[in-house]
Amino acid sequence: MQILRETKLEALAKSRELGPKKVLDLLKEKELVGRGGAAFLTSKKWGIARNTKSDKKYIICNADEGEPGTFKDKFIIKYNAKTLIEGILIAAEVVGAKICYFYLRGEYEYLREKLEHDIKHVLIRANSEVDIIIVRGAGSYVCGEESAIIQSIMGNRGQPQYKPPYPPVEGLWGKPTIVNNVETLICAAQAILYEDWKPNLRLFSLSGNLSNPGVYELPLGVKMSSIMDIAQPDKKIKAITFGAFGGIMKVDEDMIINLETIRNARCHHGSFSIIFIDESKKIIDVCYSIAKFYAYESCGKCTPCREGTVRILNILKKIKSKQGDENDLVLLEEIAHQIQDTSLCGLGMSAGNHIITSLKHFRNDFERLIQK
Amino acid sequence: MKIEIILNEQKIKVEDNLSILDICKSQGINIPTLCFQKGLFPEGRCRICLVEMDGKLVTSCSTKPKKNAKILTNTEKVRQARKKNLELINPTICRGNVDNEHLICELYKEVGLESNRFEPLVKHTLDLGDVIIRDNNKCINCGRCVQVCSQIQAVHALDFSSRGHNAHVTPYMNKKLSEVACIKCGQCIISCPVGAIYERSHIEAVEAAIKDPKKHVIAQTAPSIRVSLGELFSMEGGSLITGKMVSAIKSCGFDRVFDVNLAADLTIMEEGTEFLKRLESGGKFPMITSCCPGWVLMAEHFHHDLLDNLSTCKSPQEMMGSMIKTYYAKKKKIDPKDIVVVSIMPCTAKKFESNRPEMKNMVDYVLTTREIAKLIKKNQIDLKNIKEKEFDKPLGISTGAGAIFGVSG
Repeated sequence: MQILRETKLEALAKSRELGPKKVLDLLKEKELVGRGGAAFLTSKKWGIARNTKSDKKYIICNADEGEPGTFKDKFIIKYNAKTLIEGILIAAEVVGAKICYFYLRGEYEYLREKLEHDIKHVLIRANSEVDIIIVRGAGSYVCGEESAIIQSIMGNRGQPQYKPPYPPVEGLWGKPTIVNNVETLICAAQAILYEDWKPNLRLFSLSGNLSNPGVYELPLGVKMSSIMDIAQPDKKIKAITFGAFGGIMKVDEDMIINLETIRNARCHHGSFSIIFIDESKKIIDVCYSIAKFYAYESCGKCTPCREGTVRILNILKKIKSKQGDENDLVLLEEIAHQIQDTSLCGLGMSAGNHIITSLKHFRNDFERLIQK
Repeated sequence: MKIEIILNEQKIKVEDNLSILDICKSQGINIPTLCFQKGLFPEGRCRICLVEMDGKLVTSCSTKPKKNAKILTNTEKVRQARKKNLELINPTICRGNVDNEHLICELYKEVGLESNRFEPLVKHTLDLGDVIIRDNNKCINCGRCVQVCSQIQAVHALDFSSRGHNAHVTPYMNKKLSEVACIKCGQCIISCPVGAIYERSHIEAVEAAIKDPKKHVIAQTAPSIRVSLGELFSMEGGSLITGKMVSAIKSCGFDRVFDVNLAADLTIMEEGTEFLKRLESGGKFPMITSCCPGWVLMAEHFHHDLLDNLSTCKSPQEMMGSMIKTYYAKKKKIDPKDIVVVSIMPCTAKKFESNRPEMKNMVDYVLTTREIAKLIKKNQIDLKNIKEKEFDKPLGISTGAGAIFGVSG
């Protein structure tokens, strides 16, 4: 696996040798984009923070990983933490940050001791002025959002903030801040060192009713049938969902998984966490558990997300118990679009995806449950 | 720097640091807002002030347009989105239980929301404070009170708690407002657009006292009321209506109406004397006036180091209360126990002050400007056209310098 290749401080040495400007050019050439889901060009993000004048700058390694069905960051921290830490140091030196925060998901507390050990190990050998501080996640899904993570580290309520200003210009304590996903940072180190590093190799977290769930490295453009061969589903798969927020997508074996097919299905790949839904599962049950997740994880800041998510949950409950009518279905779709169109942050904008996509692909499943 | 944007299909040049809301205001376009408060950071919570920018819905309060941005403020998409968010915001308040004076009533008309398809979901218990009452069932989580309390008043008594649709405004650890460091200034009441926070009303108690033939009920009006009361009777803001006000209060059944301006004169004398005394005997300086009970409470909660700087004088309303229950009672040969002193004050902190044990019940009830307006309306008095009357003697005479208190604060 590409992601398991260790750089052994050679990437850091190479980046020091090249100088920040050439490192940014190199990352741009290698087409490294953010792996958290938004796919923003990493070199651009770092460049903005580098060019913003400030006495202090910060790097935040986002290991909050709250997306249901995602466990790739845990995999990286477990098996290649030292390379990841090197990536953080490279980012810090390119941008000019002295302090980095490692925002570790609350549930990953058991990884902390090993991580601390690895950080110490790398920092001593790297001969760097940079310090890395581990912060324990505050336990909310939305804390994985970059402006909410900043609020959380500052000790505030973990709520997203209006952007602009974007964090690379004004972030933690008002200073330029880079928030990068674990996978992005480790890839930065590997992309700098290895000439044969490929940007289209992505980590897929596969789960659901599978014989072989787990983290796999697959190229974009992979056929669904090859994913099935690896994952070995117990029964025939009728749909997949990309975490909670990416939406529910109808699949068949010949389908090719790349950015285009996912976009055409009105879904979002996010961090490539794929949960398989086989024929024994009802789509409405899947929607219901996702809706429950959103109603719980909404931070409560903006109206459409706070109120809309719970309304969706209630309508689904009604339809599930065969009490719903045609109006409920209309209302369901209406609220889902309202949340998507008018919410403040990325969580809200995606909180209606599962409804919109499942009504697009599996409308019959809902109509069957409705009183005529 | 000036940039060109296309606002409702018209090309205009605007400063690039202005929000869409500011731009629209300068162009004579009225955009409905709810959580936005002038001068405070636009948090974009309510999602009512939506407009369309380059095909996407954005909140106009918090968005600054980019060069050549196409902005549409009144499309069907925009109108529907505003309406749906107002419908979602809280079905409890949509059912006609909001007083007309509140901002949201105007919003219903502007946005055009007639009925609500949703049922209320959460049931909160009332936070019954001694001065301020909070009803979270009406709350729409706009955060205006939280912002005012923390960013303007620097008190931080209110914040959000819980998540999702359970998120609600509360003092820390879900305590009651009366149990935390709150200075009772009442700014949260003013900022609340739905009336979910309101003062503990003394209207009924005052009415009962008026009805009781044994009680001698005296009103004393603060200097500022005579200029602020008119606004609540659709007169121009700042109209001076001393005579009409006195007359209306008398018509409500008060036996006497005195002027707190007199007590303001006393305060000036008392505080001046104290100042000179401190100057001679080397007391603590700077000496800070103690007229405002909200500020006194703020010092007690947050600035203990300043307590010795505060003047030891009572506030004007309490001086007046003492005068009435001692000097006036003796002159008129009325048992102080039968006198009911009602202060008519601009601020809720005065309610708190009148309850302080140190004040020994010299003032029985405090009505705010809003409450006296309600009482006047309840008695079907036409304030605009009522015949003017003068303050009663002997405690209605003053130099008039006290009115400056009302201006300078």
